[in-house]
Amino acid sequence: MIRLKYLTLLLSIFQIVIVNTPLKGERVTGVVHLQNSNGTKEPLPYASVYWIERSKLFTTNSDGTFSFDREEEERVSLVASFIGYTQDTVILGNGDKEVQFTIREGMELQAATIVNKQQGSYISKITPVKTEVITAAGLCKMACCNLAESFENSASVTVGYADAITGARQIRLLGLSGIYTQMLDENRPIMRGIASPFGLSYVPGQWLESIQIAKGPASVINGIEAISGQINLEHRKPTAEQPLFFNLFLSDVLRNEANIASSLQLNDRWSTVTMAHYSYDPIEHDGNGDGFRDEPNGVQLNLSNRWLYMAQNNLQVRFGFKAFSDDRVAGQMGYNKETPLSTSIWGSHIKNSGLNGYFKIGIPLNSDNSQNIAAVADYSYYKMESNFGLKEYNASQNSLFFNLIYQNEVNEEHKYSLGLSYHDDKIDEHLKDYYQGSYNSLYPGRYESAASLFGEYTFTKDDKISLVAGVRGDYNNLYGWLFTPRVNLKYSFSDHMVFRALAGRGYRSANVITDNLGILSTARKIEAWGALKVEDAWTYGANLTGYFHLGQEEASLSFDYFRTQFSNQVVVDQEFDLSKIEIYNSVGPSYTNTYQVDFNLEPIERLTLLATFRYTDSKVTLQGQGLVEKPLVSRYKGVFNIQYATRMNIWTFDATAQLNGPARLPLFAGFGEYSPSYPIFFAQITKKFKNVELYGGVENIGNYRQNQAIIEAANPYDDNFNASIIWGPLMGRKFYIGLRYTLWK
Amino acid sequence: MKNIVKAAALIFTLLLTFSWAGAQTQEGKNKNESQVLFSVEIDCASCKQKLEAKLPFEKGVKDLKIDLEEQTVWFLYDNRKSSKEALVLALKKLGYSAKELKPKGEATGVEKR
Repeated sequence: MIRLKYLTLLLSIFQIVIVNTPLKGERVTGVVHLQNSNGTKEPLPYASVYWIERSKLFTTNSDGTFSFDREEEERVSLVASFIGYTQDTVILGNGDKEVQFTIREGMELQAATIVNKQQGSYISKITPVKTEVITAAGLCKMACCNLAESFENSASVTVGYADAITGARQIRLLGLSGIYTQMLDENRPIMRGIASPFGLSYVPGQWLESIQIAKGPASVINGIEAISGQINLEHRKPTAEQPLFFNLFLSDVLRNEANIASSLQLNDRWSTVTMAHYSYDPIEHDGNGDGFRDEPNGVQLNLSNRWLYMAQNNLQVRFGFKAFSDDRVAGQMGYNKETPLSTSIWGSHIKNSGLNGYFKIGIPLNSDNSQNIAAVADYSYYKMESNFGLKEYNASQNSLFFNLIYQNEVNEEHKYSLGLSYHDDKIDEHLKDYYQGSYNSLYPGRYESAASLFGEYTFTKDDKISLVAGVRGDYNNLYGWLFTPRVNLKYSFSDHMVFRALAGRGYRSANVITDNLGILSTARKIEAWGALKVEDAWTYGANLTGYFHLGQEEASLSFDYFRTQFSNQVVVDQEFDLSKIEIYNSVGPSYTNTYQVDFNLEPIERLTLLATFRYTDSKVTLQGQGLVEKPLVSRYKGVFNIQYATRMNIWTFDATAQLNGPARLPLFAGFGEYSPSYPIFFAQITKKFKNVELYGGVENIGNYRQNQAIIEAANPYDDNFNASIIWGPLMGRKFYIGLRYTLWK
Repeated sequence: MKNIVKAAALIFTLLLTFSWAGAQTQEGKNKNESQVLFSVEIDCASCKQKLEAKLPFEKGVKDLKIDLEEQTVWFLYDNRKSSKEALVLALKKLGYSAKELKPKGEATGVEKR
């Protein structure tokens, strides 16, 4: 970097010296080519070449060439043209002595060739699976400290706290807990097993380029765990021309955060990106006066380095690692890491650390890459050490994942993939459960491995129909054979009306403690009834999206319906025995129906409106109660977002209103039967300067909070103490400011 | 609840005011403003991001639209402070060669200048 500066300096000095030497003339020669519609080039005689500064016109010779003299420092802007053909403009740099022009036949032809180059980046209209994309611009709409906070404009994904203690965020997709959503990092499964409860907090929002949300079980290639959907994260790319990016953030409770990223292209083949994150919550804050911190205090550090190698024959290699450590203290005010565990104060100290490494290779088997082989290897280690009052929970996980995929694009219509896969999870867990003065140890960990075969066939016909059908068989050491069929269909009635439907099966092994982390922040005894079976569910869904002309851009209106039905679900029941948390295989039906409407409009230039509404009907069979509404699942959510940007997004104003519907409260939680519905408002202003963006905003403008979020907060060792009944925000109004700096190559 | 409604009302009023003001200036195109459409070989989202970060701060640039599908860059600029050539040069500095696209029906060739 420093060397580069010296070089620039040297060059400038050189330039000054040159400029001050007397001017000399030099000869410029050039040629004008005509590019035919089939791509071949030929010299074009009698074409006009116009020198703008000197208003001089030249005509090319019979071999398409021309020449003229210019002063050494003279500015030369040339336009080549020929009646009925396109123009080509070239501005000569100092010392340029040769110039080449290419002009083509008429405009229409040119437009046609350009369309063929179109990138598949606007997925929503193209992919067979309905995919909601949150782009970099969308991610910047919110302060988005981490992944959990990136979904505030989405009604599809609801984010809430897992409990009132740990700060762990939980998402819900299709009305189901985030554990049923498969999380992918560039198509590698992540946040599995005990890594799931805090996983979202360990993905800094500023590291991401985009997030893709697909509802329902999508492809079988990445495993069997997607039941309610897949969320794929795309990180900053090694190929981005951003040698330096940093971001600083500060909130009114003095949470401070720094992110730094650097993408470097070492040569044509090698590129790398390095990302680092630091955040610190220094202040104990108790806004609702219940004696407990509203959010934990602590320090988090994350580091990642990713490499990409691209050979000329399209062979690609990607590898990298990610490491993090997080140390957080929560619970009653005044509790700290050194405080001995006793019944005089209720505190929680949670230490999480983890490491992930991966290697991917894509090998083309023929010149047009229509046949290729891809292999993925991934290893993750995760460790959690914690106490919740007197309960202690320590766990570690080692996971391995291999995937080998052969893809063959037979022609434009038919494509198929075949593959082999293996995964291996070793989870060690020890819960020292404190209950009414005595300790009881539980070891819910497991060793699970599975070897799998899968195949997926894609049929595409003229952008009108596409069908993806996949099957997968997994031989699992705990559950035997698991068979997973999935199908996705897309049909375009016209350019303006797209229909999609899907059906598929998914499975998942429950991690009873970490999937329900809140149960540790209760005074209850945790009890599992016998051996737990694999969770097994079918999801069906349909979507109709219409695009129509209204306002500036194409407006869209979309309707969704999804249903997930469990054959077996591991149920965590707090209502059967009020002194216990009961965990059992479902004893009757468990299902969720979700209906959603999304509407996007740009009524005038640079003003965008987004309105979306979701209704969820979620039922579960509880022991002794029969089929009841699932507790703490809000019945509806509405989101209204309005954004206005001045020309070139120099200023961006953004406001979001959310209306969160009522949720059934467990029988013991008082308040009557349902939580109230409540609105939340967010606003943010961003100003763009050269290389720098400044932003400031407010979250939860109305300062809405769930009062008395913790039951028996005054007596945390009382039998009724419970911090897991959360349906609303724990933090009140929050102000923040931040800056983003980008150095472009 | 009252405060919430007030806050919401305030935000929406502000946004509508801004957008209305924006719409007014949009219509107020004057004789010092010219526009030009270039064909630029730009095919990646991050390339677009780069141009959107850099070009607004070129002298005289008033508005900018980049279309990845059509591979075009449209400028609205102050013709006292900038010119088509300066814009071509600005794109060239960022590593992109630009070719002007004339709206259909207008004669090509430079004789009209």
